[in-house]
Amino acid sequence: MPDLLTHVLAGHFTTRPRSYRELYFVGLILPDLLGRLPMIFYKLSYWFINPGHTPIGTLLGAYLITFLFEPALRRTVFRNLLLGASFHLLLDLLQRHVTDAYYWFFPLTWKTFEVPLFWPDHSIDALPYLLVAVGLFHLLRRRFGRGRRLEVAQSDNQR
Amino acid sequence: MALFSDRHRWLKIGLPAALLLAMCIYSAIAGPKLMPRFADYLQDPARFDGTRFVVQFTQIKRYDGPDRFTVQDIWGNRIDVTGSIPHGEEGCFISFEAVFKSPGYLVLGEYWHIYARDTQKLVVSALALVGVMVFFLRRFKPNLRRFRFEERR
Repeated sequence: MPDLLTHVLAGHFTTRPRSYRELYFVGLILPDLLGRLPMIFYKLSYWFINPGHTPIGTLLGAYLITFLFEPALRRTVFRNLLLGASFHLLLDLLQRHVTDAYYWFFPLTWKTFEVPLFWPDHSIDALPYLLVAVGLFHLLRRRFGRGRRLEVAQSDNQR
Repeated sequence: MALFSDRHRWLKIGLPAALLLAMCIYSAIAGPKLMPRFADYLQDPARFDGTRFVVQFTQIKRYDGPDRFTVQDIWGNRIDVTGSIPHGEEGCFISFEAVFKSPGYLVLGEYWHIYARDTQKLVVSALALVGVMVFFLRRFKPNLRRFRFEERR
């Protein structure tokens, strides 16, 4: 898996939900929280927690998390968590492995596939460039994006 | 909306939780069979002599020479590997193709990868985790009495 900062930064380049964006960012790190975090403390937990890093496991995990919010918000929570988690898994799909890739269709089959573009540890090398790219992206969006257009429209209306 | 309402709340929580737990148990039972366990090979070296397999999640423990090193699997079993890899990577994880040889060592295959910079990845990931949590907690606050997050007003 790429590091979490890469996941969070890469998530800036996609269409982010306008409301409750915080949950989208939680979604971006959700598969690793469910399926990788305990492994740092206890390596042998790898296979037990592995379903947390599969599409079905993430879906179930996100659904369970929605019950930690008030009913009126749950639908939005679920949608935003899933949107972020889907982008996380998409980025993980692009990794190379010597062994099996992630088990995308677990528990139906152990068969895997990947689109091998980079090694998991290479994400750390790309981090400075990604940081600059995200900074530029936000600058350009502030200058030319929707917010700027609204600002200009409002000032025109005032005149 | 029915999926997210409080009606049959415990069923809506219990069913997916049970399904997720069942998946975890299944994975814990069936998953390790996909991963070679050095102890099994070392118990009966003659039987597995010449077996080719792919090793994952093993840690480089030490270098025993220019083309010899020792790795440890997640169960804590160690095995010697013959083959050349860059030095100075003790503690890093390595995945590789190998052939098991009696009386109990591995011959490194052509395809291998060392997962370097694990510590940096951990530190950077921890930073991201803290950042996301702060971002989240600026919007939501935990209500321990009701066991849920509520939006800050």
